[in-house]
Amino acid sequence: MCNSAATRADVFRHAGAGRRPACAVAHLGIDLPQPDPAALPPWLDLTRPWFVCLGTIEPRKNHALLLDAWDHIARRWPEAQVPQLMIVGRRGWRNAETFARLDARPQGVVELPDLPDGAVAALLAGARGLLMPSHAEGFGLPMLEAAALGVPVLATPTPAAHEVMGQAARFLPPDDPGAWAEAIMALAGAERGAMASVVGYFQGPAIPSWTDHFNIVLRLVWHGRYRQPRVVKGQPLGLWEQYRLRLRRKRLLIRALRKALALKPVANRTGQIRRRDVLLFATLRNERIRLPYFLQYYRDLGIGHFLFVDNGSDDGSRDYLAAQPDVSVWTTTASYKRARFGMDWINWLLRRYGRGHWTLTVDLDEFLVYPFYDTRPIRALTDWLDSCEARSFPAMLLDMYPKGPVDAVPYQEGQNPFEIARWFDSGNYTITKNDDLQNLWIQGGPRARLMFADAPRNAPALNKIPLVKWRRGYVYASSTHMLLPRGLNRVYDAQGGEKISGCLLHAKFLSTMTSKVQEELVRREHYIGSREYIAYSEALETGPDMWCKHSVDYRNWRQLEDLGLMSKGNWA
Amino acid sequence: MTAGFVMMCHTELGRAAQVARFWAKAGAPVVVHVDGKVGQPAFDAFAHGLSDLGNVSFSRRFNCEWGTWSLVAAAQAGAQQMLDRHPQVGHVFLASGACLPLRPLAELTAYLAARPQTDFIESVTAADVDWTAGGLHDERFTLHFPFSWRRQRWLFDRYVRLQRRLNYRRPVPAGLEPHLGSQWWCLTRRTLTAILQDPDRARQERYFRGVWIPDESYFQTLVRRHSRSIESRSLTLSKFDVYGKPHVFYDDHLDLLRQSDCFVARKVWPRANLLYRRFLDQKIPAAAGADPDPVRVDRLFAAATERRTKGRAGLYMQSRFPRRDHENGKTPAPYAVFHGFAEVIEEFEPWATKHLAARVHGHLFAPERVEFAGGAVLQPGCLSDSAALRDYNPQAFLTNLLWNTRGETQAFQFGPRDTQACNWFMATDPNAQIAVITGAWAVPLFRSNRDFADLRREAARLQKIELAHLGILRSMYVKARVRIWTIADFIENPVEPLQSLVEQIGPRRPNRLIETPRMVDLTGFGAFLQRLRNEGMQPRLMGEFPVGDHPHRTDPRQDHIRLTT
Repeated sequence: MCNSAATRADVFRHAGAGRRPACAVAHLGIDLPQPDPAALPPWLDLTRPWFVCLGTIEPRKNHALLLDAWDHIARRWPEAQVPQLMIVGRRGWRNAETFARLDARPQGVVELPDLPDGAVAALLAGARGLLMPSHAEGFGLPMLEAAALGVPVLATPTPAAHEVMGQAARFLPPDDPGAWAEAIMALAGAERGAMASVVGYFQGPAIPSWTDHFNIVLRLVWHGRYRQPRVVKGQPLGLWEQYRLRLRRKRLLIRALRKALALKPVANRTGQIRRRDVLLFATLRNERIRLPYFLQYYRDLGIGHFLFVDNGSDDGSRDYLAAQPDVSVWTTTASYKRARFGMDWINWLLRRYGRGHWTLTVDLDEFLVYPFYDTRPIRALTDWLDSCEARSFPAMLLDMYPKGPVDAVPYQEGQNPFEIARWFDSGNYTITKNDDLQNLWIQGGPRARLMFADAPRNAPALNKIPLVKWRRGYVYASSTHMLLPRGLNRVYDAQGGEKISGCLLHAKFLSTMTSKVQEELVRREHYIGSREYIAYSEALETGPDMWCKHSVDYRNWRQLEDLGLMSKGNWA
Repeated sequence: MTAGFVMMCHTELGRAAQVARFWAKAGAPVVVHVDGKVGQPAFDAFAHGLSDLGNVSFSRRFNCEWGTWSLVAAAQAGAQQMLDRHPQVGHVFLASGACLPLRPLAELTAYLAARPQTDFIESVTAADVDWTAGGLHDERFTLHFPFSWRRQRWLFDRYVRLQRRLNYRRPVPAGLEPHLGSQWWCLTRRTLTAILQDPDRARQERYFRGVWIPDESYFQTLVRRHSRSIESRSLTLSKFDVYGKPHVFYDDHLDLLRQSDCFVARKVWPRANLLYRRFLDQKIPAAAGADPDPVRVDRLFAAATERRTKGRAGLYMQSRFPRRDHENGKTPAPYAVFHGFAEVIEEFEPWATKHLAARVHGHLFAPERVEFAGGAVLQPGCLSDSAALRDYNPQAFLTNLLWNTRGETQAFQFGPRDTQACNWFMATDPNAQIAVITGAWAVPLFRSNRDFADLRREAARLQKIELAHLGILRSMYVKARVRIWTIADFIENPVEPLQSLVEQIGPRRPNRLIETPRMVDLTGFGAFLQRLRNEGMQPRLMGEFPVGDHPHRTDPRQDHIRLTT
């Protein structure tokens, strides 16, 4: 086990070619040191600014450089202004020259062996900076401790320092006392008040915790191995968290089984499903007018079989679907809301029929667009995802709207809805990360801009993961926004690269909307007391025009990729 | 002399049959190896479908598993059969069932006929290879691999680890220098015969049976013993991504493949009907004997790799959400932040709009509303001027604005009254150019007629905020280009700072004199500061203003900024 990737590299280097011991990297945790100013020696002068250098005085730690730097400063600045250098640590080995220089008591240099931990923390917390001029470091614990206290760090660019501090340290060469003197003088000259405020804002590098450390250690001990995540994808899960999420997933699965009792098959053609078919799952209620185009669109993409849950339609949707050769339909009049907005039903269908298939779960007004969808059928995408060992594919919801009032141009059955609703907002989306399930939370678009400008927090979520290679035990946790197990939600790259993604064009804002809103307001079967629908009805009454002069006219998927709404990733 | 094809088929036999037929009908003998795992009925149907072609034969079937010797054994058997049965064959071309010929056979034959002694095989010294995915490089040759990687991954890993721990190393037989390379080669009859009839073959085979992924090393290593002339590249266009997976060709790559002038491409999506139809159509006229030139294909896949690993700088989206400090560019383009200029200079925004090559906004982070340039309500990308929406996620607001306006430099006013949430973000962004006049926030207070007790409270608040911001701007983490003047220094000589701004951001019209803007009249400002002091507040950021009421210079010494460039 190594305390950093830098150490591991050293280990491998020493081990020589062809002999790689198994090696896990577990960064040491940081307990924020508790400063105890009372433990400081009373004779210390704490009125002048000071810098701290922590560690045994030995050649590797390169104290000599700091002594040189202080010589520089003493030559440049008057004596009263020279900051103090607090060397915390005992004298070590093979360093006679430095010891001799220290014995000569150079100006501003204070040597502090044998300080208790509380006193070191107090000294560090009050310092203008931590100085780490080491020639080599395995980890650099003091740097993280300083960062945790909000104290600036000056360090030599060792691999370990780069690894634990990222860009959160100032890196200076190990053999240039002049550069160090400059940096130290700049820090010493800064306003003390300003320094304090720096601490308040600055979050510094990611501070590893002992919990993370021991999660790795425990896995090593228990499973005999720890597979380092190839890309750092969030924090590794603790055993307790694993258990909690597992429980939550099981509960959702049981719930799905229970709610599915209400489903009655109308037409079950699932026997026709072939082994590699991509399946589409959807819940609907009174969407007869949308069905022809919806089915045609997804048949053109290459969907093998459609599985619908009809929630008490009375406009002929059910019969229309039951007559289609590649459709299976279940029906229920149970509460949409109490089935977690239909997700319990869908979860059951997915569990029953989706296993081993790529499954697409969408609403009737959502149209999937993925890179190259105009030239490559959906099987091309899923084959490629299979070869990449990807299990899920994200597609953000993109609200499309017409120019002028929503109900100005009536939507005709079979018509491409994006002939009317062909505009969208291209660049006003905000993203936050949901640490619990690791998914991204995307909000914005015309709905946030027009209906939730005063309460952006309540604006609808636009992140969706509709395409999943389903396996037993998977479950949608909340709409198609996120799944359990939560690894399925990690569809984004956190190191700056782009993964593949698509968009769900949302054809909600059509002439069909007015009647839908009225119906839903009476039923009150939508999310959080149908808050969204109340907002819609208010907006509809004022004769809304969602269009503005910066709205973008939809052309094709390449446009969406140029705008940064979706990405090809490394599919070419 | 002609070329003979050995085809390794595992799945998608229908496509493989089409390709075999293409070569066979053009006159090249084809030896097909069908994976032993393919069921007998499927094999019979496949064989029957090709039975009308006299020059297609089937070699002994091996159960193939990726990474094991079985693939080499299959290739050896196929090659041997080719050499034995078809004496007219000069070059043997190893292809897979997912390969697609891009040019007529005659062109390949002519190409090979012009190079009768050349072996086309990628062969790189194992020690120099850096592209093997999975971490096993030289260890492929020095450890034992008795367990299946596909089916017994756990044992595979364990056994590798055990050997490492025991420091075990298999000896590499004398006379072999391990080489690696693409498994798709085209060798001359002479070289291939020499490899297959090597007196030492039994010993070599014994060794290579234990090597991991020998199909990437057996021929690649032995060819170095026997070949007279090696061209270390594959005639098969086959590209791998950063994760070691082959890139796949689809119908929309048709033009790209045609222009590549390569002979064979791999791997082709089995349902790419257009590609198969187009390239297997014998009637399409041949392009005259061009050399393979896959540079456009290389570029396409290199761009894909770049996108996957680096991404587009400054983009935050559903599948790219970098952690802090791992952004590969926090923002897409340079932008300028003017802190305190609008307070000290009369009509600064119109002046800057006129003279700077940038879109100059007001206070984007103002508490009341977002002051977009020209008082616009919406910006490109439908970014709204609502302060509530902006403050819900200020950093996303800023990055959205900059992303939406790529190609046009953005500049905006800033001050301690504004939302301060992005201060660290901007300070650590190398694209930010932050110019600060400290203490300028006091000027509007000085010019207002508010109750002095209010003013004093407000002054204390703003000073505290600005101090905090300055602390950030003076911290060692700063990556932005920061310049800071006190208001006293700036008033004393505004031309130099303004000139440096214009030079940094770029003038709207080059080679013109730029008139200096008019400063706000600060007569009595010193007295105002003194009054604040008298009320118990300590103004610290204004620099040295004389307390006495003698008027401070308000006119610059120069009337014009002269650009040095």
